[in-house]
Amino acid sequence: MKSELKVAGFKLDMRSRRRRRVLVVVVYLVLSAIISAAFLWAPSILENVTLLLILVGLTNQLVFGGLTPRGLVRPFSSAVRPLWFRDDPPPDSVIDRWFWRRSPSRKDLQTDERDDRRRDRALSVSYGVLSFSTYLVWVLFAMVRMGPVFGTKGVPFDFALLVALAVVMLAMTLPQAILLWTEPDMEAEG
Amino acid sequence: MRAELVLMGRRVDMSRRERRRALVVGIYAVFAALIVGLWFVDQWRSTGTYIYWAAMLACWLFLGGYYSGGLVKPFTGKVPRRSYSTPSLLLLKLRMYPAMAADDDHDYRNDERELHQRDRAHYQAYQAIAVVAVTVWVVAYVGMEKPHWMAAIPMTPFQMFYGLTLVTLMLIFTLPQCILLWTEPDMEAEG
Repeated sequence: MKSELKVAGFKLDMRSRRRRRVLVVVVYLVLSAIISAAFLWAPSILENVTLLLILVGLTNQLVFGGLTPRGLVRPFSSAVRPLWFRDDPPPDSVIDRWFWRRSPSRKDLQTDERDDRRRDRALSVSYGVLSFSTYLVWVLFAMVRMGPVFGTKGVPFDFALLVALAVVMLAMTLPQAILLWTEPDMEAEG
Repeated sequence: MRAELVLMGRRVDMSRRERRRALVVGIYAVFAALIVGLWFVDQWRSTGTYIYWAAMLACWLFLGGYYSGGLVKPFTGKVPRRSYSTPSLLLLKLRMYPAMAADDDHDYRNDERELHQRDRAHYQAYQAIAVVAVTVWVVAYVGMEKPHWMAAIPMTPFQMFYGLTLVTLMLIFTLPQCILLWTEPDMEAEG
């Protein structure tokens, strides 16, 4: 895991676990607020599907990492790599060089055996949460199909779909959040 | 992982990878047939639940992981509560009574290596589930932007979501165990 987060040119020290936990809570609060707003204001949740997925992509790209080369958590797979590595020779194009200057070095993304074990453990825990959430979505869809029962209005399809999309968002962010939440304070580099 | 499967009182040797792979293929072939078949019965209206119970049954009888039975040891590592009372007559007739656990609980507890394998299998399964999740998103997107593309499919978007959720649920409950059964090499015969 990286010890600092770069946001808009600023470097935030993230060695303290307390700070990382605050960050996780803030990210999920913001995501929940945006999902709720999208559900309340849009006529159909389907209209916001792409927006929500882009939002999750940005969260991983800027803050969490894991599925992207940037962010606090190192990439889960070696297949995740940036366009440029900082240790590559500088490209000729001005635009490429702009990206190259901001890209990580190979060392920044390297993971060791311990990192891989923690990643597997975080994904295993996250899998349990995902199982329960998917079960919940299935029950909701079954309730949509049942329609109104015992004088209640019944579950609207849009609401079930919203929960399904929230589960997709959770699946894409939870392993990183678990790692950020559970890793102890990092020591200052000598 | 256990080397043999106790099925209706009979012991089936599963120490060879080839046999375990045949079992995995067989289980998913049955699931595929069940999903397709039940669609023609009532579009999963009331039979959708059977797919869920079939996944549970596959875990209980063959796969394990989430149950104490089956080939893969329980993921939680917890030893099931032992009952010393006589099993019911029905279970005795069906030969489905649980085998007595050994005193050292080796049959249920995962060692360090098995814990790593379990976590690795979940990591791999997670990627497959992520693909299914992205499929849900693609279906939602196509349903919104290009509804005429889906006109040829004899399903409403809701039925498609319901079916995808069922498939996801079935995969979630079975995939980590199947990955373990598929990837583990042949076991050596115990001395």
